[in-house]
Amino acid sequence: MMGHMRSIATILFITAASVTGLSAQTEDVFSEANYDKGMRQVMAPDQFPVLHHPPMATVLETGLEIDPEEPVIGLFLGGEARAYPISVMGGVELVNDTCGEIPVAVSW
Amino acid sequence: MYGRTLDGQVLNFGHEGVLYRNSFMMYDKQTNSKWLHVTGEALKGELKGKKLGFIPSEIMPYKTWKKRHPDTGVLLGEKVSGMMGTFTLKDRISSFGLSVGEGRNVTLFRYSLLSRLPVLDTTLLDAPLVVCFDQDAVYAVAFRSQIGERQLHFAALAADPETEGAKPLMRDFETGSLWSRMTGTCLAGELKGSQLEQVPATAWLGNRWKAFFEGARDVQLEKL
Repeated sequence: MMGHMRSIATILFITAASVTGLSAQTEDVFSEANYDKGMRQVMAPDQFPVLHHPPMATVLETGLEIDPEEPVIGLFLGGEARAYPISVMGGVELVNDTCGEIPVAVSW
Repeated sequence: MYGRTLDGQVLNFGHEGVLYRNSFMMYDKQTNSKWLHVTGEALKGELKGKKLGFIPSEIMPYKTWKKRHPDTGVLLGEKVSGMMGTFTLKDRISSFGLSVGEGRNVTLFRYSLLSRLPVLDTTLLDAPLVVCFDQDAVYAVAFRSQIGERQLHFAALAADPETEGAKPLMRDFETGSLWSRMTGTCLAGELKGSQLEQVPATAWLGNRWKAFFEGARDVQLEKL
């Protein structure tokens, strides 16, 4: 979801991505003439952060105060509700998570 | 948002470091297949051609989500400035749209249009569809506009006493029942308790969407 915006972040992140990381990538970016040149390697695999089952708590548990206007990605699945604040997701492209015991990939 | 279970196997994903038409690719650690995150489709590897199951999610202000789910969990982590946070509500209306469908049949419904027509009856692949918009949350969602074989047509409605302040609402012309525009649940009337089927859809920045789905149907105000 919202990969278009995340791609902006990715592109910005390229600035910080090390050239050495790219040189470690030996595969020819999926070939087939790079899917008519729409495909490009911009950094090494795993260089951009991905979260795996990150900590999550209710506001009551943590006493966190969250800006009521803060945009969140809301997920309600298997009787469980989870909110992923955009301000936190701004630093990651992808979350491997579980909601209501159902494995999910949160991307945006 | 996708389910990570495919044919009984749970997949774990990493970032491939590759962009395809400016959208990032991910890989699964089980087979190293390469997946396009905006469609959930594997483009290369053992799982090429497979698609992950789409799971509807929503983007809205925290206060709106919290009101709907008071016991919601919240992702903890360091805040990063910029990105979505830099988009004002006005920016989001002028820049975003709801992408519905896939392949050649994908259609973008611009928020700029939906802010004027917050309940839009339309069709997708000849199936009746209603696209709904919440002006306060700047959030759009799409539903199949039928219950069983019965097709419904909708109009936007302000808050109604029958629904105990729930909003935004819509009313169907066929029975006069009241519906939540954001959840597709019938709140009052003959069809009370009925649920419209939500259609997989994703919010996109309009210019990025046009670059990715070149030539696809782009429904916007100035083209009506």
